[in-house]
Amino acid sequence: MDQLNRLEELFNRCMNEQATEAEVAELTVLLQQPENEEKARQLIEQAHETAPDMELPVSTIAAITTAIFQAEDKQAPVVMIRKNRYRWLRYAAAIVIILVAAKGRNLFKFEIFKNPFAHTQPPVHDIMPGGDKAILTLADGSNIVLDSMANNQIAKQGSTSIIKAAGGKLTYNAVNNSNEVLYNKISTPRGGQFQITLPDGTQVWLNALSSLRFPTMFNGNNRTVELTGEAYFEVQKDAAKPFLVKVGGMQIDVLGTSFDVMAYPDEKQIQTTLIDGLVKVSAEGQTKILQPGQQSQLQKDGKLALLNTADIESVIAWKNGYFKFNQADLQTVMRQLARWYDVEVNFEGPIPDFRFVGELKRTAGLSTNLKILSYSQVNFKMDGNTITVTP
Amino acid sequence: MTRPLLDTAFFQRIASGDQTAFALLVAHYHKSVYSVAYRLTRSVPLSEEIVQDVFLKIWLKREMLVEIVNFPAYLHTVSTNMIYSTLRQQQRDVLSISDADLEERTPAVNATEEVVQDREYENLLEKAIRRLPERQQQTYILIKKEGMKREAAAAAMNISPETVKSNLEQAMKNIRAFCMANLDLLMIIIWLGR
Repeated sequence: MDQLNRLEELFNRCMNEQATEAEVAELTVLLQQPENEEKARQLIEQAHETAPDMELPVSTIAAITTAIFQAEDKQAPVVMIRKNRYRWLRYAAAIVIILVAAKGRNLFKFEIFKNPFAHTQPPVHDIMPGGDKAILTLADGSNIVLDSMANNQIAKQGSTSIIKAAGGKLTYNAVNNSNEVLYNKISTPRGGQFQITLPDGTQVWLNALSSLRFPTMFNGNNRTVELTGEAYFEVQKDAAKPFLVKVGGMQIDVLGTSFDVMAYPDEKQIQTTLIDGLVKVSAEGQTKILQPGQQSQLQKDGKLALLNTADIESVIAWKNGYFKFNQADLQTVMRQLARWYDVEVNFEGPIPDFRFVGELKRTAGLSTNLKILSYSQVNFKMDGNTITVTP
Repeated sequence: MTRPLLDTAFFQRIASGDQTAFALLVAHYHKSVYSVAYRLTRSVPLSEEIVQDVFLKIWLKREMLVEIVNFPAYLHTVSTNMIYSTLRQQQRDVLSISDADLEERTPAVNATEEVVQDREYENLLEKAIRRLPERQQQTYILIKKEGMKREAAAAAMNISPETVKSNLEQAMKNIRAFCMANLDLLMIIIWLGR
């Protein structure tokens, strides 16, 4: 067989994804031969028509187009490196992308808005986003409202002092070992979020409409907390004292790690997404061990499923100030908005079967975000705290 | 496949600089480029770079789009050139420039011209880094210049390792696009060493 035939054969095997590593290496060598250039170019060009399509995720397309536009944007301001390099201004994302694809692959709509509302004032009657708000329930049942409090030590529970820092943060400092274990609970309302550092140093970000019950000191042989709603955990490593999260009939055994648990009663399933480390999820007699990037899904019928490649960016976007959707349906989008803006959502008429991909800012007023969503040909009517969605 | 938007008026919108229309074009047409690039390189990052470079070239020459009758044919030609020249980089890590090289290379043995070029690349890279949005810039500097691990950088900036990763990826894409747009470097791939 001459070289050109061999080249073509290997090339076709490669396009059909049948080639072995050795054959790919051989093909690479053949493609690089100057005397084969014409044939190589011809094969590559034809393959553009015939190779089965592979697709990049929308987030990658967004990153690529952002880079392309930015490369040419001559007026982009030069950002100087600031002396105090660990304190940042949050970089306001300039581009909001909403992609809407109907379930079939044929209809395809794509919109990019570059700061679409940069120059418009939000209307006065807009519904403002949620913020750092929570209620702390102490062991004696008394409540402390955490949104308007000055930043200082706000209470003492046994030998543990509770300190509220700037930016919606609560810290528990256990000063010495005592046998007195008291339970506290922090709850966020709709439209609230809060961050808390537990006595062992574990950090928990609590999303809206969520609660965490925990002891003011971990002096047993494990560290058990109870969660409702959604939280992101960065658990302090302590091999001697496993960290346990109890949530909606499920238990998560944590072995030093970062993960997100979403367990809202109105969502289809309890999702546990592992970012780092290792966790074991147990429910209804089933057990799954999660590796980083995996997500377990406890469904309403009690089945515990495992998703190998979770979209971590979307899962923890709320903690970073965004809603991020990856193929989310309209109902899912609206449930998230409802929890953060504290509104009721009604659907009138058939619900459009769209999938949304993209980001919205949690700091924006509700009308701004609805306006962006309405480009996908969904209509929203705001009446007091009720949003009506019509196709 | 319905192609309601991809008519003459659509290409005129791109030619006049409409970014929304161009993003749609990329979303619609990257597949043929990526499919071939990935099957030949078997590398996701490298294939993403090829896609970015192909569409960057088309964006920079967008005025031409109004005259092009058969866009897929034009795209396939640009893409074929890009894929072929990438494959011809026989030893990528030797021929390409990683940013680590830019810092460590001692120019003493190079010919004068190369020294000048090295400085130009270095200046260009510095310029590209300075143009990055602040958090991407910080991430890039901590990891690529100061050699911090992702987790350490995340702790230093009080953000999650995932955010560090995505900031770094976007920073790399931005730097690459800026360098490609500002130097006629089709022969020299600025490979930012993932």
